Amino acid sequence: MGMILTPYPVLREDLLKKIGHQVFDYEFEFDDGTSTKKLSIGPLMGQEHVTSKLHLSDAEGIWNPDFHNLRFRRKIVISNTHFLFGRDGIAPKNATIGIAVKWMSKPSRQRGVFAGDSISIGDGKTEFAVQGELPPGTLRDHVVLSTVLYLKSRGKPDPGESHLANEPGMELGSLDTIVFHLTGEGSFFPVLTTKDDGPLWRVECLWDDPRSDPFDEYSFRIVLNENHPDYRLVNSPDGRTITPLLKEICLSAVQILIENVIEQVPVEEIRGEKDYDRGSVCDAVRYFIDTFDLDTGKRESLAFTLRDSVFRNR
Amino acid sequence: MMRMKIEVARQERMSESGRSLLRLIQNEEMPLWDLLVRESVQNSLDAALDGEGFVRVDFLIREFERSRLSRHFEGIRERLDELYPLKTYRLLEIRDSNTCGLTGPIEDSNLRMSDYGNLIKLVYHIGKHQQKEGAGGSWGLGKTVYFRIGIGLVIYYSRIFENGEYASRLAACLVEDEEKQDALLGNTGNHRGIAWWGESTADGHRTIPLTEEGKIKEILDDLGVKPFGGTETGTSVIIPFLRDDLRPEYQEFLENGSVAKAEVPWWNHTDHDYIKIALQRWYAPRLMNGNYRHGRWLKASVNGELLEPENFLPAFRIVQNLYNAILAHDGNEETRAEGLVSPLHVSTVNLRGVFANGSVAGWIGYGRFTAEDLKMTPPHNNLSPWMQIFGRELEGDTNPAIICFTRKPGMIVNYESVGKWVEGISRTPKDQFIIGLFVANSVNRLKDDFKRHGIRELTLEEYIRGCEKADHASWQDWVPNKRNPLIIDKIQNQVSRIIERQFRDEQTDVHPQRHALLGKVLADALLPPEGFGNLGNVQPAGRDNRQQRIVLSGVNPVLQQISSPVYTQGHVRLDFRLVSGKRSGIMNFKLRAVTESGTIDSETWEQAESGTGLFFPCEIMFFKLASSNGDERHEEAVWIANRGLLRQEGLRIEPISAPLSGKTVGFRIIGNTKTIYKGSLLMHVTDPTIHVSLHVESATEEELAWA
Repeated sequence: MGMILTPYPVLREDLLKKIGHQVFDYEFEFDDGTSTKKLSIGPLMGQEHVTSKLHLSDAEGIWNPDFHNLRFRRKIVISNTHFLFGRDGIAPKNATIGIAVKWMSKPSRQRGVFAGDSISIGDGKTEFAVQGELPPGTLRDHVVLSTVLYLKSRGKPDPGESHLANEPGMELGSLDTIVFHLTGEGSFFPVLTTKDDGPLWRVECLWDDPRSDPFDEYSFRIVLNENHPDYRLVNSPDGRTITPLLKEICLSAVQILIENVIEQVPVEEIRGEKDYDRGSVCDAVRYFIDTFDLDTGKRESLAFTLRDSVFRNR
Repeated sequence: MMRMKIEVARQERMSESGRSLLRLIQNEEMPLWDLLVRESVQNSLDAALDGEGFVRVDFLIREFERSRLSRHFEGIRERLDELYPLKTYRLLEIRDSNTCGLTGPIEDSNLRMSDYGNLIKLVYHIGKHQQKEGAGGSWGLGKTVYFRIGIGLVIYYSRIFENGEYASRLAACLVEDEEKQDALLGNTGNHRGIAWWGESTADGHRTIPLTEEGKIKEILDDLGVKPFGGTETGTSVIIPFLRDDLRPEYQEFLENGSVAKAEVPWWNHTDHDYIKIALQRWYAPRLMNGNYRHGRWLKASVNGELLEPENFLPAFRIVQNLYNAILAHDGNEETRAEGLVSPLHVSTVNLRGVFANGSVAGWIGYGRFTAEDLKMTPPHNNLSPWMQIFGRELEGDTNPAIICFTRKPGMIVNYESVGKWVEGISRTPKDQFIIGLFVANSVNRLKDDFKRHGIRELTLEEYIRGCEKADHASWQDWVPNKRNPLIIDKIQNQVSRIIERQFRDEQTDVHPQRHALLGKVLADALLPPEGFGNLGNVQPAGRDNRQQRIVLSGVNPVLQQISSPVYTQGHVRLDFRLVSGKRSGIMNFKLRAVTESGTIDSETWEQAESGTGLFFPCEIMFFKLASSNGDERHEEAVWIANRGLLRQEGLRIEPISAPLSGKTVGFRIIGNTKTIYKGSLLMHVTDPTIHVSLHVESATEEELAWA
């Protein structure tokens, strides 16, 4: 195992306490082509207490790092900046320290750094910011953001300061490091909306091979039509309640899904968990049949058991 | 005069006869010239020398004197003179250079199959499988086309560079229908329509190629073949008695009760024009295209005339433009090409759940081209793409799309206007043409569940090669392991979906949007928390726990910092705690330099080839280690630079020096197991920009044995 030792002093626990710093949450947004939309930060399921690993998502589920940019901004407050300078600090008194955000996305093999505001001794500033923008296609799976201090411009070291970093670009330690997960394995039921002259809803079965195609909106989807006068009966005002009509739509769609899949793959193979991928369309059908104890023997019994057990407590 | 010895293949059990060989490739649809161009150029490209640049293939048709040829052939001379009474006949020479030539052993007895070289495979064996990935052929049967375009006689001449010297080889082979009345081998007794010519082996039973330059030159002179010279290597395939009926026939047909003459394209009047078009038709992606990236590009000439892209037929120019647009594809869906009014579109074809590296199966480049794009209007007046590609006009008022597809070798496998590639694409009006090219992402690997046990990996290139039948004219899914990956099927579906979506009327082109909130709410009700979708709120188990797994297992030594390091100019002092492992008290304590790509020890750092060749950027000036296990036996060691060991009680330390600078960069510590040591270290830093990492590890088994 290794222990990193810098050849000059950097930010450490004791110094961090003295400078009275406060880092605010990153603020993220992206452009969807017509407007700028906010992205929200949330904890990971099962790791709600962890603040260094979070996930990033937008309310509408449009944002996709392959096609959209990611812009961020972060505010940092350092009340006692003078502790950063001088013999017991990390830079000579008349040097300038910069704040930067280093980013790295290992799965896309990309990394970089955005420079932000600078800190000088005696200018009285306590609030600083750093911002940056990553173009579409830069990130994959997750990105690590690390807010760091670095030596921005050289100072003239006083006696007793010659051990301090004094080469521009030298890193002077990090305030925090956070991993933002962009994609993961959280379940999503493929409901989409459209606006056309068609019926209130339709279901589309688009998979090529139910054994390998993942269960997502590219293989199966319920499309709701926002232009239809009855759409208000589908969508609850808060958007979070499953209305009775929406339940019926889902149950009919799931019935179509199951019937189509078991036409292609025998139900014994599905229940026997044979030869299909985890997370695939087959796997979803297996989950529905097992969890809700569905009877696939006859269409009417499938319709009955679906309504008998799904949404029971809702 | 040089006369080559004959070796007649005798009738044996289970052996192929000339008649059966000639029937092996039953692609009756493709004209013989097309088959020949596809096969011969593929052989040349497969033999390309490593490196950049081009492979050159020259097609030459000329006359030769029959008697000057026949006199070299033992056993059939009289028969040739009798059956072919004219003074001169035509021959075809297909000559490649910048290729390795027909290398390998010249005799196949006592060889294992894997040791056969190009020579034995091309001249003496038929039906051998191609091993090289990225190679065009997979069946080794294509060369039978050589025997079908003349009278079955083929002469192979090659110059190679092997074992540090240049060498030439010449041999001939005959494959004919043994049941034919005028079989050349008719007078040689029990035969099966196959014979070779060359030099006799010592036992007189077989022949091997001629290798003496003088003898080879004599035969080449009689055939008008220029010998390879200088540092040139390559192969010339000479087919004498070239048939006159190799171009497709355009028969008269009846229309409205009257007799009409079918329109014959201009290139169908001479063999050399036809070859030029066939080269463009099948090799547009690689022909005269310096952008080609999977090896050497193809430079071809016919009777000395180089093919230039500006003279390509418009349809094939478009195919090359599409190929180049795919190479240059940068995520933008639309690009322009010189001379074309209509834009080119490129889309990535993604298949989910099939590949090990991402989902890209390939790219489809396509466009909807007008009569102007295809230069069908005055003053060019080109024939329609149907004529250019298929050699016949299409009847009807609308045009289906034309999709062609290729993999690494850059040969168009085929053009399809019916079937799965185009089924879902709406037809265009008569004066518009959708042309598309699919290029496979050859380097992607199939997921492990699809490959057979024992195979290291299965690339998409290999999979698709397995999809081609002997004539390489279509792709058909197969089952490498238990389950059919249906890759071709899915590619075809997507290609037609992508193109249809692009050209469908705007009105229906509204993409539904995800309803994120409802999707999550419904997922809560209907699905387990994870496994069906890609929301970032759940991360795969194990991914984040990796770090935590490095716990104090007690087997390995552990280093901990006790307090902040103390800095003075050029020096760092550090107090640390070292806990020795359960198994061994012998440890190596070392400084390593931290770089972007990991840490480097002083040995590597100071090496000129693999490291920097400079002095290691730091050294240890003072080192002290003492046990702190309560009242147990006290151990202590102290070392100072330039003075060496000052104290050593119950604990041994030995300095480790960098090889070039001799700086002390670590210590071997010979202490006890399960002991807590407190230590202190003073380090001198010569380059303040480089961070240093302290490492401690148990000595290796070998070092332990030595200690």
